[in-house]
Amino acid sequence: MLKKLYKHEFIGLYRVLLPLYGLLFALSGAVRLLSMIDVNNKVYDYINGLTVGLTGIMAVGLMFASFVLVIVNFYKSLLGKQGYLTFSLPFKAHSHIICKAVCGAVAAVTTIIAEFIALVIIFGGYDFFKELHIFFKTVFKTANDYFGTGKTTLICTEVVICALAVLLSNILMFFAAMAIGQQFKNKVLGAILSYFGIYFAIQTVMTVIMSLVPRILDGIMNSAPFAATQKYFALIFVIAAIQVIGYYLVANYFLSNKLNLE
Amino acid sequence: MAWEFNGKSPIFKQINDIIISKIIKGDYKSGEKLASVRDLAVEAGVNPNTMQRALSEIEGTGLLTTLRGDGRYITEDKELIGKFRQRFIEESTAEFLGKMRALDFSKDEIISIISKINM
Amino acid sequence: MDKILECRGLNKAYNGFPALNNINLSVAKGRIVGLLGPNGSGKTTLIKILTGLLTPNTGEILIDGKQIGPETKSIVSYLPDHNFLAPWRTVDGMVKYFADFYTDFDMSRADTMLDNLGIDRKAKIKTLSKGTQEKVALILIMSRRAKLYLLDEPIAGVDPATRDYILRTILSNYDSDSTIIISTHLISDVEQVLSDVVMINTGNLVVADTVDNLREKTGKSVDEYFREVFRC
Repeated sequence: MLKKLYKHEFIGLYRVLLPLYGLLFALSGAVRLLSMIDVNNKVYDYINGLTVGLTGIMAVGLMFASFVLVIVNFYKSLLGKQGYLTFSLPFKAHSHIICKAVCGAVAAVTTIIAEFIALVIIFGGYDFFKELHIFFKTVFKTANDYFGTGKTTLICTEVVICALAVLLSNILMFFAAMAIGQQFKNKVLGAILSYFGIYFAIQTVMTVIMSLVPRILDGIMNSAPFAATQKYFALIFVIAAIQVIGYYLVANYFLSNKLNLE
Repeated sequence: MAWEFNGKSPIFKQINDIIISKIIKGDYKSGEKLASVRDLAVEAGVNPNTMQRALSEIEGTGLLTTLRGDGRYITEDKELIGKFRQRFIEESTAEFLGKMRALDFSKDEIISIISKINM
Repeated sequence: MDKILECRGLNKAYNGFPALNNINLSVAKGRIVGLLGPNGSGKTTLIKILTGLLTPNTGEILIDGKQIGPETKSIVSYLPDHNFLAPWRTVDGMVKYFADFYTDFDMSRADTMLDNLGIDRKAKIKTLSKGTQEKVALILIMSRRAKLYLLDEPIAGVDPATRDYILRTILSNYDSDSTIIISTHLISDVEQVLSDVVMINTGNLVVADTVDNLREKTGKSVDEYFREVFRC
């Protein structure tokens, strides 16, 4: 039955995202087509410029829109009128929270992939991929020289894992803020204030930790390049992981015990 | 449309009156099978427990009989139905006459008015 | 377990405002119960607690002998007093959604009722009139073969024909193994459908009895008795 929860969550997100991806691809396609036509014409230049501009706006907007979609979807399905139905489903609050966080992260990742596909649509071709291949090969080699042979793949994996952890922690931070804010009369205002509250609290804690334990930063800066990256990523991951767990617990507490649908 | 009830007496009693009336009138024919409690409850627009209670009471009078596992049937005892029919007209008339006597109508007046009515 | 609901010492306060005051209530299976009281008396608070949407401050609640949680949610079917359907889904989509999450959902029952009311299954919820949306919501809730139905003001604000349909649906779906609790302030319309009444006033349980007993004791209909008890 948990599968159904994820299925419906994906449907809810992608019914908005897929058309947006389609639009991005269409605009990218238009840019590509127009670039293949060689016409010396003022009107044509305007159209060309306009299309490129729109595509650029679309690309940026899509990243933003994806994140906002995940947040708004959480709010609407849990804290709005639909919340009555969602919380009547035979699940505990934590199932909903985890499902929405995971699906939100997946949505962010597919958006990044979509952006990349758009790039390929605009610039793709034999030369493009050849250049790209050479570029990555060079970067890889330089990295291997610097960090030690074979370490680059490991570092790349770690970057991805850390990025995912940070992504989840950002998503869950919003969820926790909304979970706290829904107790108050004005849920949206409550959520915004809670978000800033959490943000400043985290900043304060981080500053305190960093100043109390200078050895952490020293340790990183004084290490050999590879060891430094390991320590750095470990630090980032730990901070993100603690936040993920913390926000999850907060959201779960407030949605399980302090639920206040109007 | 659901049956109509007033707020004066318990609903199951009012259901009794309605069903007995239907039996007397022949809407529910002698020997016929009665609809299930649930169907009757839906038709009357009442709680099934209330309908059950009403039917049990009518069973007590003998107008309804339960055949094991086969539901309720209206009695074939036409004499019994006749008795209830008789009792109904007697009770209704007594009530009517009571009202008339209270306003000092004479028997002759009453008979004269009734004989002029088209039924 | 012949009791579908047992409440002991239930208390709920919002910021010091007492919404429910030491409620002790016990409801058997196979009953149709009217939860009656003026607006703001605590009816909706009680219902939300039973559905798990609200946590009480103190008190023990057992639904079919179980604590409130996913287990009870799978046997409790709740109809809120306002719209809860996803506007972008179709009627068909909502039916499938219910079937996905509730193992007690009876698809054929839903099909029959939707056909009876001539509702277009391919229509999006947001395109339906308010009255039709309410009917769809009722159909979804009543199509579950739940042990406890909680209907919050199901007939307020609907036309008489729809009201009759709703009451008829409640009666024809009656099951001696399940209980229906109807919260309403339109008592005369539902009185004959009820087997029991529970009256709440400013968070206190005032009456909990069968309709027959109440009528016999007071010599009045429940509606008349209610007006007396709650006279302003």
